[in-house]
Amino acid sequence: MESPSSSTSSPSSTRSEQYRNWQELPRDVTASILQRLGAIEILDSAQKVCMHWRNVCKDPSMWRAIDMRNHEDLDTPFDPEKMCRHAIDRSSGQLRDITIEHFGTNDLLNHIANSSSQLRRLRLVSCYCITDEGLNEAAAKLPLLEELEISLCSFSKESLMALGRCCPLLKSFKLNQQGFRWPHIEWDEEAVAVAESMPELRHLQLFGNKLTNDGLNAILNGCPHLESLDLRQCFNVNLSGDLGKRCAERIKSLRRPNDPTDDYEFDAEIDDGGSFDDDDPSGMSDIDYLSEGYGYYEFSGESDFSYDDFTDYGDFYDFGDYYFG
Amino acid sequence: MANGENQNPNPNPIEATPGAAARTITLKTADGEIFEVEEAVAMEFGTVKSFFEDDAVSATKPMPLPNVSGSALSRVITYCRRSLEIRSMIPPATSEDATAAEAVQGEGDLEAEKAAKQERKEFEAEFLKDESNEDVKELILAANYLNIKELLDFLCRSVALRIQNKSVEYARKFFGIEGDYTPEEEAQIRQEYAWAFEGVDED
Repeated sequence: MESPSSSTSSPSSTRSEQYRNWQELPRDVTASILQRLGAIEILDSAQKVCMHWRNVCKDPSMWRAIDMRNHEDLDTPFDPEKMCRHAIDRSSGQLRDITIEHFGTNDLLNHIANSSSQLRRLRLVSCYCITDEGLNEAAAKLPLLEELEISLCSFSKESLMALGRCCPLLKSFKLNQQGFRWPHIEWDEEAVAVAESMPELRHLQLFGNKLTNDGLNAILNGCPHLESLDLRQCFNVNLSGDLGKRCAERIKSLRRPNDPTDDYEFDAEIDDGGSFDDDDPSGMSDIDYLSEGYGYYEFSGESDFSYDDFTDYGDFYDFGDYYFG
Repeated sequence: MANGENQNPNPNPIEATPGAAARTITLKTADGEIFEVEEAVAMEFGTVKSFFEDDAVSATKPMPLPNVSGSALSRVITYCRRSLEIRSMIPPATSEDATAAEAVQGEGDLEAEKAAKQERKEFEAEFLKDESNEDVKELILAANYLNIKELLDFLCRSVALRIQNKSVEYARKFFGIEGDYTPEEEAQIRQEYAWAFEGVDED
C-alpha cells in the first residue's frame, strides 16, 4: 500500500527496485543502522517507516544498549521516563548498557535493576531525582556491573561504598562534577570510598573532584590495577613531587588537573561561585566558614541535607542563616 | 595476473615482478573485473582472510567475489588502504609493565592518537562526499559481504546520521521505501504509543 504522502517523482518501477535493494540488507545491518538513531528516534520515527523496520525495531537485540541522553533544552513532547521503560521492556532482559540524562527516578532505576540483571554499563547524568536509597537498592541487583558513571549529580560516600561492594566486577568508574577553584574545599571522602570498595578498577575519572593528595594516595593504594586516571579540574591535587612520579609510573593514561578539557563530554567551565555571591548577602565566600570542614559544595547530597529538601532560594537563605549564625 | 604455475607452499600468490616487496592477492568481482590487492589490505576483508586461511584453497586463481561490483570493490580498497595508513600513525600500545620512560612516551602517543583521529575524521568526510544513495547502499552490501567491520560501522554510522532527526517521510524517500501500513494500521501504531506522549500532537 502506497503511503498517501510519499512524494518521490521517480517511476514506480525504479522506486520498487530501490526498495528491494534496501530490503536486501541483512536484518542485522538494518538493525545496526537504526540502532544508532537512539531509543527515542527509533520509537518515535524509525519503527513507523514500514513493517519490516518495525519488525526489526521490536527485536530485543536492538535494545541491548539504550541511550536516552536528553539535553534539557530539547522541547520534547513525550515523557522520557515512560519511553525509557518501554525501551527497557523491549530489551526483554538483554539490556547491557543504558544512559539516562536529565530524568530518571528511583522507580525507573529499580525497574532497570529488576529487569536487567545482565547490565554491564550504567550512566547517570544529571539525575537529580535519584536518591542514595534508590541507587543502593538498584546496585544490590546489578552484580555484573562493570562500568558506572555518575555525572553532575551526587551521592553520599556510604552509597559509593555500598555500590563498590555490590559490584565486585566494576572496572570503570566515573564521578564527575562541575569544577571550581573557589571557595577552597578539601574533600577526600569520595576518593576514600573508591579506594576502599573498588579494588578492580582499571579506569577512574574524577573530573572536578575535591580530593587532595591524601585521597589520591589512597586510590593508588586501593586500586592496584588502575590504568587510566582522569584528574582534570581536581585543583587540590599537586603532582609536582613524588606523588606525580608515582602516578606517571603506575598509570598509562593520566590526565592532570590542568590538562586541556576539549575532549571532555560535559561543560568544563569552571564555576567559581559567582552566581552565589551575587545572591547571598552573608558572603558565602568567607573562607573562615569553610575551614569548619562541613565539606559542603554546591547541592551535594551530603549528610546534612539532600537535594530533594531544597527547591528554591528561599530554603537556601534559611540554610545560610543557620550556618552563618 | 597471478602466476598460474606457482608451486610455492606459501598460499599467497607472489607478485610477478622479481624483487617486489609487496605480496598481492587477486580478486575477481561479479562484473568480471580483476583486482590485485596488497595482502595487508586484502586481509582486512574478513571473507578473504578466512578464504586464504583455509589451506586447501588454490592460491593460483583469483578469488571470486560474486556479490561485489568492480566500482564497489574499488571504493572498498581505497577505504581500507587509507584506514591502514591512518592506523599505522599510532604507535603500538605500551606493555603492562611500562616503565617511567615508556609512560612519558605515552604522552606522545596521546598526541599521535589525536592526530590520527583528526585524519580519520577528514578522510571519512571526504570519502562519502560525492556518493549517491545507491552507491552507499552498494558499499554497505559489499562491506557486509566482505566482512569489513570498520567500514561497515562507518557506513552504518553515516547512514544513521543522514536520517537522524528527520521525519518518517524523509526516511522513506531516502531509502526508497514504500510505507506499507494501511491508514488503519498507522492509526493503531500511533495509539499504541500515545501513552508516551503528554497529550501533544505529533507533527
